[in-house]
Formats: sequence, C-alpha cells, structure tokens
Amino acid sequence: MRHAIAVTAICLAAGLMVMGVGCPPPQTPATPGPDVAPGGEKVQLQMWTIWNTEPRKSALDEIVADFERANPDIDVVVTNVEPDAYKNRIRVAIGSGDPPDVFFVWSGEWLHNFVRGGNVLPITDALSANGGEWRSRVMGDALKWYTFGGETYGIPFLRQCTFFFYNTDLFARDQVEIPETWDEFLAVCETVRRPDVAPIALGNSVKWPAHHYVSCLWQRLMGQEQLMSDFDPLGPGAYDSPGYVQGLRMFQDLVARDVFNRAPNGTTRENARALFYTGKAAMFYTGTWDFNSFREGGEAPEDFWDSWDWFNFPAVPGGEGDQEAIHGGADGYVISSKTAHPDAAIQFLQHLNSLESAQLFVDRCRELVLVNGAVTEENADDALLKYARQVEAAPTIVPWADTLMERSVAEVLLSGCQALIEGSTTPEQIMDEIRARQAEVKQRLEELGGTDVSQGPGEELAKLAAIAESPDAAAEITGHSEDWKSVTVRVTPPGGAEPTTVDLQWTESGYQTVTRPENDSQ
Amino acid sequence: MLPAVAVFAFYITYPLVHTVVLSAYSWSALNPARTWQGLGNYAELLDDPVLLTALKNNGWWIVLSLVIQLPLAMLLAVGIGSALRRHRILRTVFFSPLIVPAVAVGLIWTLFYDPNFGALNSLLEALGLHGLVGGWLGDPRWATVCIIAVSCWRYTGFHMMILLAGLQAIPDDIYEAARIDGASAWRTFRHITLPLMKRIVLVDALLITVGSVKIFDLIWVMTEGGPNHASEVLATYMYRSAFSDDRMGYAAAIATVMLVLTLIATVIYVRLTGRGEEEAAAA
Repeated sequence: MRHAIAVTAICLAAGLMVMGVGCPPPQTPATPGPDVAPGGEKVQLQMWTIWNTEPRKSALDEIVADFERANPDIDVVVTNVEPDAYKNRIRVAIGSGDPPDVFFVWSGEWLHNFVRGGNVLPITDALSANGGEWRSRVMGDALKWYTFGGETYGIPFLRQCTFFFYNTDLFARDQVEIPETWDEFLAVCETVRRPDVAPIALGNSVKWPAHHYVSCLWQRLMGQEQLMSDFDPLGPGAYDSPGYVQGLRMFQDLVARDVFNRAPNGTTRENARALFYTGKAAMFYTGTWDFNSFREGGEAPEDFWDSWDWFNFPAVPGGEGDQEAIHGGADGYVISSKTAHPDAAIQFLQHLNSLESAQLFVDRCRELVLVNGAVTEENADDALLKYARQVEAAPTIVPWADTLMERSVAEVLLSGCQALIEGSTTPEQIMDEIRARQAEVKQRLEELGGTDVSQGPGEELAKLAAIAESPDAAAEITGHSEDWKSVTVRVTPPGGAEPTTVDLQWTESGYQTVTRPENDSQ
Repeated sequence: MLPAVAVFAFYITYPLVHTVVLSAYSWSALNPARTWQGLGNYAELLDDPVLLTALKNNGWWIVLSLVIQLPLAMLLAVGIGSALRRHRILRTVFFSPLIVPAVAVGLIWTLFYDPNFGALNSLLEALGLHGLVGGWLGDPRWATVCIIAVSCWRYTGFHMMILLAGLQAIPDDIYEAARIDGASAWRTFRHITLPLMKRIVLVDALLITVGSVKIFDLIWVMTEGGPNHASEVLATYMYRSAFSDDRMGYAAAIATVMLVLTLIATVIYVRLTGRGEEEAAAA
C-alpha cells in the first residue's frame, strides 16, 4: 500500500503540475471566456469522437451547430474515428503531446489510465458552480464513474449496457421461455439449435466480445468487490479466488457445446450481427449500441425490425455476486489537460450535457443519454423506454472486466478468451499469465512511485495519499502538524455514507496510514 | 553535402538512436515518468512466446513471399513480357492491386475469407468440399498463410514491373545471336536472361525481404495479429505493445530487434550484389 500511495502520488502530481496551469474558474456559459483571442479571432476546439455512424453523427453535428450559433467566437471541429481504431489513435495523439481539446472516453480503467497520466482536466469546480446546477443534471450516480480521488474528470453521456438479444420469432417457434439461470440458458441453446441456426452469434475477431461472457460470469460468481480488488493495478492482484478459473471453464464449456456460429475468432462483429438479424443465430450477446441496427430504419431487414427483444445475463445459482446486476459502461467526454482553451471546452461540455442537447440526441438516436429528463414518452420508442426503466430498476451496473483491468493485463484476458475458443489454452494457464502480467505491471508502477518521495512531506502528497486510500471518495485535509509529517484527512465516500477520518504519518518511503482505534473516530 | 547530412541526421539518425535509448526504459505514452530498465526489456523479449511466434511468422513471410512472388513475377515478366510491352492494358491489370490502398485490399479479402458469409467457404461448399470449409483468418493454422496469399496477389505485379524493367535493359542482339545459334527458350533464359538479371533479381529479393520484415498494414487490417497472436509479426507486436498494452519501452525494444534484422538482411544482399559486380568486372 505504501508503494501504491507513492505511485498514485507521482502520477497525479505530474498531472496536477500540468493541470495547475489550465485549471479554469467556473463560469456561466453566457460570458465570453478569456479564450477569445484579441482581435476577435475564433477559438478552435478540436473534438474527437467515435460517433461515426448515423444517426449519432448528424445528431452531434446539430448539437455542435447549436453551440456555435450561441457562441459565434468558438469553432468546434469534430473528428470521427471508427471505435476500434480510436482506442489506439487517441493514445497516439496523447502520447505525441498534441491531443484534441475534447475527446470521447470509455469509463473505467481506460479513463483512469488517462487521469493517472495527468492527461485529463478535472471539471469538479465547474460542476459544483451555481449550487451544483450542472452536477444535478447528470442522471443517477453516473458521475462516480468519472470521479477519481475526489475530482471529476468529464461527463458520462451515454449509458451502454450489454444483454442477450434474441430473435422473438425463433423463441416463439420453439415456445422458449426467457432463461433466468445459467442451466436454463444452456437448455435454451439446445432448444433453438437447428442445422442452419446457431444458438448464439459471436463475432470475436476484435477479441473483446467473447470476454463479455467471462466478465459477466466472474461477476455472478464472485461479486464486483472481489473483482475490483483484484483488477486494481496497484492492489494485491492475487486473482486467487476459484471463481476465476470456474468462470473461464463455464465459457470453455459453452464453446465445447458448440453454441456459437462457425469460427467466432474469424467472424467480425458486423457479420455476427448480420447472422443474428438474418435469423441464422437465435441470440446475440451485444450492447445497446446495436439498437439502431435492429430497429426500424436500421441495417437489419425490414421483417426483423419487430422481431427482437433482450434479457439480462442469466443468474448463476450459488454465486456470490449480485445476480440481477446489469453489465455496462458510461461513454462520455473529457477535456484534455493540455488544451489551450479550457473555458471554451467547459462551455462546450456544458452545452453537450444540457437538457436540450440530450433531448435532441435521444430524439434522433433513441439512446439512453445520462441527463435527467432526457428520455421522455414523446422522444423514445418502446425499446428505449424499456431499457431506461431496466437501468433505473437495476440494483447495480457493473463495468466489463476489460474496462477495469490495466491495459496489458486486459490484453492477456482478451487473447486468452480467443485461445479458449480455438482450444489452445486452459483456464488455469490464462490465470497464471494474468497473475504474472499483473505482478509486472505493479512492479513497474511501484518503481515509478519510488522516485517521488524526495519531494518531502507536504500538502500535495498528503492529499494524494489520502485519495489513494479510497479512490472513489472525496478527501479533505482537516489537520496537520507544522512540518506536515502527520496529517489528518476526512474521507467522504460517495453516496452519502458516513465520513471517516484517516491519519497519515510520513515515513522515508512516503505517507503511511496510521490505523486508529474504532472508538477514536467519533 | 552538408544539408544532406543534416537531413539524414535529423530524420534518420536521431529517431533511430532515440528508439534504441527508449528501449532501455519502461514507460507509458500517457505518463511522462520513465523507469530505467537497462537490458530488462530485451531479457523479457527473450522469454516472450509471442515474440517467438512473431519471428516465426516473419520467417514464413520472407520465405513464402520469396518463393511465390519472385518466380511468379519472373514468369510473368519473361513469359508474357513481350505481350505486356505491346498491351499496356495487361500491365495495368497486373499492377492495379498495388494502387488500391492496403486497408481496402484487407477489407475486401477479409470479406472473401469470412467463415459465414465469405466467398471462399461458399465456393468450397458449392464444389462439395465440405471438409475444407474453415475459419480461415480465425484459424491459427491458416491466418498467416491467408494473409500472405493476399500479399502475393497484391505485390507480384509490382515485382513483375521491376523485373520487366531489368529485362528491357538486356540488348536484343544478344537474344538474336542466341537464336541464330539455335538456343532453346530455356537455355536462353538460363544462360542469358538469368545471369544478366542477377543484380536486379537480388535487389528485388532484398525489397521482398525487407518488406516482409516490416509487413504491418495488411495484417493489422485483416486480423490485428490474431487470433490469440497467431498471425502476429514483429511490426504488429510492436504496435500492439506500444498502443494497446501501453508499453512504449518494450515496443522500442521490438523495433530495435526489427532494425537489426533488416540491417542483417541488407548486409547480406549488399555482399551478394557486390560479389556479382566483382565477377562482372573480372569477366
């Protein structure tokens, strides 16, 4: 843990140095920011997104056009990148030191990694300005996905969840009931199977679709807390719960039952989708991002538009996780810490996150936008309303494993799932590799942290150390000794739980937590 | 001279040296902090089964590209060379795959190989060869071969053009003399065309070899080195390490390995062509 603190400290410290310069004062959208160049030259904001297909593309164009009309001094230049290519391209842009001002992110470790490297501008102050008016727009607790160490780094915009989509015609033909448990699900696979109909479509050439099965099974078997503690790149990363191997085995068993289409690893996601909507596969585990391919006007043939529905990943009886949990993420936007126009960028995010923009987006795209009141009976169809209600009713929404694990560790899992499909590895082998990779990652991060202690005790490091203690909570320094060698921090967990007090003591390797007796914290 | 040296230093030497230096660190593109690794990245490389797969695949790329493309290009150049000279349209046909961007080529062929909707499996099924129907790009045994086949389709025309240029440099009167002496087509080829083409063939072989060490685009578009690293080569593994795994130092180490391999290939070919020149000078 000691090292962990130091690591987080240096990562965030580096980030803060950059951010310190650009940290904007909160301001109302109407006042022109200091970004306007003298002589009335236009401010140009570069925005990168993955919304490269219709109707999202033109919906965003409309939102941008509205913004530019209201702010004639700001120009927003939108660059669209294909989603799978985007993952690498944004890294290149950030690594090369010339990132876009506003860019698309997936929630979880993917975003956290950018945050740790100091590449993202915190917008906590802007969110809290005007009595937290902006903050209150965001639906539910979605902001927590964008909050690390008490700072919020962007806005979650779209809620994306994965479900088993199924062909209602094929299910009706065989009088299949929606399966609720894993065994029922396996039985359904057999019932709907025909020589020309695969039970499930799987397009795994991009590697991550197969991992969704494993990710869900792990959650059902072990619960999210166990996963979070193992996934944390700075945590113990033991991965020693038997649930890991069991989850991989259950997926292996699925492969052995031959429930998927021919050669999943050679099938693209697009073709798996086509197998599903042409009735060559009865089910398809995919995300709500495919709504628009299936519904009226989508790429699916007309007779399919009313022939689909979905159910949640089945429960695994005896598992320790929440069996009703939904799996999903929150796509959103962040501002680069290197932007030359932080005020304009914040203004734009506020506009994007406004009720008008959200309703416009829902109206055009019929997707779940994370703004209160965005989805209404008028602008949504039955599918979206059902989905919105389902999200509202869900006990928790759990991110997918590959969005929570450190990149290179996640790659081991993704490749491992491909190998399970081709039968060239075993669940035990995959877990061994994950453990080995995780140990290397941790060591590297610890080595990085070891160099920073030279800075000596002080407010900045103390704050970072407190944050590292409980990454999702807000930390506030309530007291410290003259030389900053002992510090008291109040930690407020998200969701209104009781704040706790943590004592930190400076040692030669950084701040360490001093455990205080239970009754002392009163 | 000086501007040339400056350009060389700036665009070639600096990035090259920088890459080698970076390979001694462990660092992420998203984080300015680096940790010194010394030869740690190389030690890990030696132990990395994926690197072995990548090296093996690069080997297959070199061997299969040389064995397929070079003879085929030679056959096209010699066999229908005269026809080609007369019919520009044929030349264009053979050359055209090269003008299509690699990404487009990759996507079209990915569709061709698609296990469920692809033309290849449909063709095999129509012919009643159900046993041959396969996963192709999704099958670790076939993925690399499938992509090499596309590469051959794409580049053979290009190599044909190079060889054709070499052929045109051979004076016609030598052939005429051979014909008067009653030499057969094979003997003419064996004793006139081939020796006179030696240098250009070697240069072409060098192009193919270096191209095979560096090959990236087609593989990235068609399989991204998958499934499970089965079609990984050095370049894709380097890219993956840098931008997917976020391990820049490790990627730099792979790049250095590629650099060394390319240099070795170049030295060998330079030696070979050099010897050819000496022989020519002695003769």
